[in-house]
Amino acid sequence: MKRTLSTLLVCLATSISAIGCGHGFGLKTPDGFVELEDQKEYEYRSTTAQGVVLGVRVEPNRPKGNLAFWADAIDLKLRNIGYTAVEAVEVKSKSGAKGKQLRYTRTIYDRPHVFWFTVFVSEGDVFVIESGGDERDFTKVKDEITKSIEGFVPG
Amino acid sequence: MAPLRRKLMARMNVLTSLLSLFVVACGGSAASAPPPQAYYGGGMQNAQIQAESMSGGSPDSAQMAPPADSPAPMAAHSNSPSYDSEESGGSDDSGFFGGGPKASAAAGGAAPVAPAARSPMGAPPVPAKPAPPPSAQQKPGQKTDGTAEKGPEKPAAPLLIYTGNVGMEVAEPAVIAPTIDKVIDLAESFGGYLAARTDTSVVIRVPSRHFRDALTAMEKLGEVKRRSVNAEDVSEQFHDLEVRLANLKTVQKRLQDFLAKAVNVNEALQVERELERIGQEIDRIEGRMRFLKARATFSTITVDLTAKPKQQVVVAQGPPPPPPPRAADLPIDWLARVGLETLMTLR
Repeated sequence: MKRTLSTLLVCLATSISAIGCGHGFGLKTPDGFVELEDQKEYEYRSTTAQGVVLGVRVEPNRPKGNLAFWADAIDLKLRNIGYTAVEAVEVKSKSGAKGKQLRYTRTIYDRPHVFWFTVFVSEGDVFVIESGGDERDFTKVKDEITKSIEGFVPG
Repeated sequence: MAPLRRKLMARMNVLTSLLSLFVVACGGSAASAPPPQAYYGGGMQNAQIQAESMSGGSPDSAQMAPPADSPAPMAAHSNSPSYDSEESGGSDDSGFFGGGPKASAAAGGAAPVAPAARSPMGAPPVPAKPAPPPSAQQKPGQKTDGTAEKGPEKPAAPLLIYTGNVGMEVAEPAVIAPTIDKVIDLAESFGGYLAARTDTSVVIRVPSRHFRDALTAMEKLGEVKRRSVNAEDVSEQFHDLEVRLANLKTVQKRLQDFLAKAVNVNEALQVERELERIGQEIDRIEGRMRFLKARATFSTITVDLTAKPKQQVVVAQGPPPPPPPRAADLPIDWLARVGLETLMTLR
């Protein structure tokens, strides 16, 4: 009985760790990405070998705002520093959380880059999932990123 | 009394021939100054030297007795005080111009009527004595100098060299080459020809009588930005060359006569040298005359072509887009860190 319980706990811990629940949210690392450790700015960050990065920022919902507020605040900030908005998409995770995804392009070192941010808002936190990279490389993995975002579980 | 008179007459003949020799040597008329020394190869000093070389100091002077129709024996020159010189053998090549008896004979004692008015030098004194009667070959009314023998034809009309320069603009660079072809065709239609061509310019020559028509026609091929026409009158220059050429040919003929009657190798060589120099000078003058004639016959037109600068296309796009709204400076630090820069900085 004890052995069975231990095995169950280990499996639970492993599965929780695999989906990022150790960060206070749940996110599956996309295929082709590796999770980076010891992150300070982000609660979670993973990258491909080509440099397409997926990161999750968890910030306190202070001042307290709803989804629209935080989406607009980030959008305005990005457009003011040169990002070109491409589209805005309403997203809903498999856990039922509603979020908003805004997609941008930007040229860095004469190369077109893509940047998506998806924001979920809970009572106490703001979850910002950022993903981006060189357009050519990003296009190859954007489906994996989309899957990962759809599986996001806010804490 | 008769021998004295004959002696006096002989002296007079000697003096006359000496003067004619001087005139011939100088290449000008007795009433005019000699042309530049470089051209006629001597002048009085050379004539003096030549006279000495031909007569004085040579024991063979007697052998150089002139033909019977010569107005005076050459040997008599050495007796002339005006040609008295210590130089006996030092002969200047150019001195052969008028120093020999044949020169005197050919000149017939008459003064050539070379371009006296243009001579910068003063005219030598002319003897008051009338010139000796013309020789048997000389026709009445014929000028006695060499210049009149062949009578260089003066240009009937002023000899003008026309040159025109036209700077034109065409619509675009691709039109330049076809326009140059049109210019060439135009020149050929007027009886002209292509003289030079580059990628953006063309030089054509057209008969001078069609100069104006050709220029007018060419100006229709593009937008004329600049135009200049120049006409240079070279009539005087051409006439100078004609006179110089005639005189040189006269001298050449006399030298050829000298050569035919040279009595020794030294004399022959000297005459040959002088003939060669005269020949070169004649060639040079004839070349210059041909050049002037050609330039006057065909006018030169240079056409430079450039493409019009492209005009800036200004497309009205309505009012400029409004600047992005001023971002509210929210007191949220992390907002400023959202973005690719932070995300892709992995270290």
